[in-house]
Amino acid sequence: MHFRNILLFCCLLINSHIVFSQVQSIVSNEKLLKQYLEQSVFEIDSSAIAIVLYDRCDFDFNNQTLLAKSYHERTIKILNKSALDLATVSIPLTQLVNIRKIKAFTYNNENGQMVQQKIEKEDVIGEKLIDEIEIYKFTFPQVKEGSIIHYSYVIEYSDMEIPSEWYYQSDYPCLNSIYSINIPEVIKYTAVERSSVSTTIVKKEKELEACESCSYKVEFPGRYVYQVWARKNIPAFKNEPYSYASNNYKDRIKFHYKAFADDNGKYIPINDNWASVNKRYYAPDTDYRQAYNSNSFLKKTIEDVTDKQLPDLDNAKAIFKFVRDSIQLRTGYKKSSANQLKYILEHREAGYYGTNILLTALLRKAGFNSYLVLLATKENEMLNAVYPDPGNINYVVSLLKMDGKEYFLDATDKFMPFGRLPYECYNGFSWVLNETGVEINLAPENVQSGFVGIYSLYPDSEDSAKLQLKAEYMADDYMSVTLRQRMNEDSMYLKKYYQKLLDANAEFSYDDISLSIDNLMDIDKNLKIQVLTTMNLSDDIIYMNPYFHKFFESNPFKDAERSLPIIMDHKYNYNYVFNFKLPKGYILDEYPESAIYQLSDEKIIELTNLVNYDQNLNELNIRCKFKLNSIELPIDEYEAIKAIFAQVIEEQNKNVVIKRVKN
Amino acid sequence: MNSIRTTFRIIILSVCFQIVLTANDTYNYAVSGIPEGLSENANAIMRYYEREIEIINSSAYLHKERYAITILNGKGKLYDRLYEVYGELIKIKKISGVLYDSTGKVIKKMKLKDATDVSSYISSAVFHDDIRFKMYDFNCLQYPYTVAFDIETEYTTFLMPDWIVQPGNDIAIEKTTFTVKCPKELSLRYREYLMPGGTLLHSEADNRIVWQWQIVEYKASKYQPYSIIGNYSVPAVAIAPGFFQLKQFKGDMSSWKSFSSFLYEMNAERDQLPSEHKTFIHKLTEGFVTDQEKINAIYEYMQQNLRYVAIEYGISGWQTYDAASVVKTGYGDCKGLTNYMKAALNEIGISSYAALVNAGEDYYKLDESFPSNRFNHVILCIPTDEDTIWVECTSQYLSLGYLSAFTQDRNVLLIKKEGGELCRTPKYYKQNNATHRKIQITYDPAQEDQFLRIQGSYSGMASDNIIQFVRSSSEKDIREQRSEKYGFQSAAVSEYKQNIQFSQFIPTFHETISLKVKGLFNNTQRRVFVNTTWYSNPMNKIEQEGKRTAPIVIEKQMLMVDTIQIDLPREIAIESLPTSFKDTFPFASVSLDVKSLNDKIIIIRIFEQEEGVYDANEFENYQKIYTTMEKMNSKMKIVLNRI
Repeated sequence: MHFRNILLFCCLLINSHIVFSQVQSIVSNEKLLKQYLEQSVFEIDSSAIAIVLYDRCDFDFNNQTLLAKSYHERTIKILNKSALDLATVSIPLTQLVNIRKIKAFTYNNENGQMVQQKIEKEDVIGEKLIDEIEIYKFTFPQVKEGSIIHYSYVIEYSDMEIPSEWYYQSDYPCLNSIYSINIPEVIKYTAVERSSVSTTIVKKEKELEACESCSYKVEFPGRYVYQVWARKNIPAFKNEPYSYASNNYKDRIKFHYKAFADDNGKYIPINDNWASVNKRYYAPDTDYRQAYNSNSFLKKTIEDVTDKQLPDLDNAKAIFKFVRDSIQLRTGYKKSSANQLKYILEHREAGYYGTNILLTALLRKAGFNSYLVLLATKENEMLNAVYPDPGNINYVVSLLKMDGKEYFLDATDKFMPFGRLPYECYNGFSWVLNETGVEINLAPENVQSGFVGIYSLYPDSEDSAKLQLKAEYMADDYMSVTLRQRMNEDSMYLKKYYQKLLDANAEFSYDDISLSIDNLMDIDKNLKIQVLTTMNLSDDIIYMNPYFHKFFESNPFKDAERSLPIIMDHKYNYNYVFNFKLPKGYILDEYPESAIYQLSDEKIIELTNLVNYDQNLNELNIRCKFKLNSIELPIDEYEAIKAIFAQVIEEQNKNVVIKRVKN
Repeated sequence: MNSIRTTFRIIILSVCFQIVLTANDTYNYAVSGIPEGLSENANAIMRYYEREIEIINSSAYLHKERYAITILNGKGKLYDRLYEVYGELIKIKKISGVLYDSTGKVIKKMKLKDATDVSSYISSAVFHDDIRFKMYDFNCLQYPYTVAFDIETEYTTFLMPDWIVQPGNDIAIEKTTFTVKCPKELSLRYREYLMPGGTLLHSEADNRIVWQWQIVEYKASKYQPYSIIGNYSVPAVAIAPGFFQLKQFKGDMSSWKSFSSFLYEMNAERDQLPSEHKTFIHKLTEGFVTDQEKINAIYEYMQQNLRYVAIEYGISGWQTYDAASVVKTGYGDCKGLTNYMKAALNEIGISSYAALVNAGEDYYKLDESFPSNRFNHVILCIPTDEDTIWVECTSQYLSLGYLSAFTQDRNVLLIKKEGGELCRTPKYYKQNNATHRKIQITYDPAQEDQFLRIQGSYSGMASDNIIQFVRSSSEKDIREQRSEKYGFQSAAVSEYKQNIQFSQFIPTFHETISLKVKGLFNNTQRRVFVNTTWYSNPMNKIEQEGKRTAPIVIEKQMLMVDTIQIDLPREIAIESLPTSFKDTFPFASVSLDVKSLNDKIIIIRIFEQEEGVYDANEFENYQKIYTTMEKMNSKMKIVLNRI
């Protein structure tokens, strides 16, 4: 049930207080506007293609209707043609809101004079986008490099709406960002601010005007609270690879609602803590609760799928396999619906939620301790342990507790083995839903992906001008999932992969490759691959790169600077072994020295490249290992991290020199 | 093409026949009814497809479509979705659909009201138009299953869809029929492409012409990329009106001239500029002597002050916004901006013509002998005493007279009052579609980072992306992107210079990048290996299963010259260099010329690609040259020795 619906029952006896913050709009200051029109470079970011001069929202409740409206205003300086897309504005709206008072102007400097051009009412186009979504759109006239565009509008909500968050940061630098709320006192909230500069609380609203990062708050007992935040000179947000979702980092204010007062003035908790969230989500009428009902209709399935003679773990695996393999995933499904489990079982199709709710229900019906785990996947903001934000929950998996062990299960991915979750699920704080509920940390630290690749090159027993290559690849469970997914998309994937690898790395021409794959369809076993081919010796001197299997194609860290924390998807354990029995008449003239690199004494990253040539046996042996032992890499070591990844590539680019000798 | 033709059987219907769309209520939808052997290479089977176009009068026609498709597996799923366009000029009268299981049992039915209604704004770059979609997906995953749809729409436009026997290579056709009914006096025309002779049944009755084509059992085939000659790879029929009417405008498409005349009339008098803007145009151009200078002044003004915004609601998809409104708003679509430019030139006495074109790198090649509307864009043609200047009015980055890969080398229709003709846009030959790069490396064994200077020049279409990027990005972003392009493990740009020159309307982008690079040399105890990972391969990779039977079609000619110069210190000697070679095939050639001169190594790679249609037998050679180019990226061993 949505928070919005709960609040509908809340009687808000407040006075209307339409308040707009004291921080002056740019367009109301003609002198400043002219100055910005003439300005072509801004100190905040000399390479910016556009600057947000003024960004503001005022969220206000009406005492007559008890409904809210929000006033929005944005002023943008266009500095480069590539930012002209900003001059077309689209505002998507649900049917529960109205948009009014759309005003939009372009300002240009023409021969030293400021010229203003307005968007006419008839040029604002409203159309139905899809289902219950409408879109209002307009495009500014006479926009060119140097123009300033300004628009404002009011949104009126016909359903209860409360402010959720305000982002100071966007893709463009911003000179002024202002957000204000006027909220009934009956709603207890906390404004959780994330800011790269500390916020000063000012006593007078006027002081906001000159303040870099300030907030002003006034309370009208028994009526409402008015609060305003003002920030200046906010840099653009730049996304960087290997980090959590951007909403975890952008400067913003996020509103956390703890409780609201009912008619009797009694405060009812909303998201006060995760226990109160648990109470709502575990309530009898919720979709999640289906997993915990008696669900007698599941009995026959349990009988069909399990075998009482088998150990519990085997039966749990059988149930997991049944759901994973027999329920077809249908995207676009709503999270759940009434009688969903029965429907799913009958039709054998479900969305992500329905599949794992069914899995949990079946495990429980079989008598196992299984619970739903609510989480936010990695593309989403992480769940907040202190300020519960259930709106960010976008996924559910199953937890099985058996014999003192915990197994996390996701039956929605046809290639995911028992006891493993997709990388995306490891996003920190998660919530185990049951009678009391308990938090759990799905830390990416718990996930490792790796393989062992053994490449053996030895003389052909029949033809001295040929070598036999045997490449064996043992994927671990996560790597097996990745490869199966790729094979599912393209059944020739592995063959193409090895061809490319031999084309790129081998110094010899090679015959057709023979590829065998073990356990491709046996999802619960790890993938084993074997490749055989014959390679042809030709030259007297051969420069050969013995690292057929490269750990990385290119350095994952190329940016000159790094500002966001470095978070890898998983730990790495990559192993490459090369055994080369040189053919008679050839010797190894030169080979790389062994090398060991590590990041920090804690060995956060380790690269071991051991090279050994046994002259007597005329055998070369290489053992190359790359380990990433922590998913969080220290940002202050960015240069060293970049260098060590470069070193991995450089080590694997090293060559050996093979020479033919006279017999 | 013989191999494709032998995969289907043509049914010639009896001479006397009545054209009635099949009543499919009794059709056997069971998968068991699929003819033997038809599932080979197929992910889906078109059980039946019936299209009927019934011309009501010069301004309207009914389009009826009935089809059933059996989806064999997940890859065939893309064929099961309903995706029906409608808008101001296209009205949907009926949609119904049925889902059948593999035995032919009805699982689910749908009607028009069940379809999702979606605005085109979600998927197109057009700011506002009237195009919307009705979408429906039975969301079935129990393969195999069959979907059947029955759709009827009314068109009040002169656009008429082609009938293409097979919508994709992996869908086999059990039976497909195309029927056209038209009053005789409207002079409807048809053109067959790759159709076997004798497929058409023609009849006339009650002053109406009836045409019907039918093909059965057309097999699926393995995909063979880069093999389409012209516009179709399978049999198809195009139809086009003779006399037609769009809203109040009457036209005749039976000749390019009459169609041009119609378009002129529809857009007549829409090129009037406000008087103050006329004055402005005169002022803007008064300092210039030649027509080209004046044209350039207006073009630059337009690029700086007007922008592309597409508003194509109803007839405005065909009729331009008037020049005065473009002046007022500062934006327009391709028609509006072209019309503005034409009006501004006209004001200073320079004549020009709007030219309709099918734009894009993968474009529809006009059939000169079959006038029909195949256009999706407008450019401007300015005949001058010296040369014809072609102008892309929607670009804020292209230079005057340069069309880019978007509209080069193709037929366009000039719009003239007296009726225009087809005309050809300039072709950019390989000398003007060239990349020249010189990478100079000064090797210093004492340094971990090596100094590099890259001098590049990119002309014609090779410059399209770079010029747009450079003109729309900050200096910082340019430096970053240009240094990353070469794939060095780590690079720091110390200096970056660029400029653009023009010759005969073709731009050449020049750049010089000085940078320090890591990982360029790989050392052992005695040797130094030079990595050449920056050698990009410009050829298209052709991945296909099985034997190549279709020709190889190469649409673009190009030249790429890469020079590496490595300056060596005294203590370094050369141990091994790649061997010079030259491979020449009809479609491409590659050569490597390796020289060592005292303390220098100079390696020149020249790659030339020729456009054309090449026999399937050349496929092996194509793969060979492709692999050679790929290997240069990593296997071109330059080995040095420490003395």
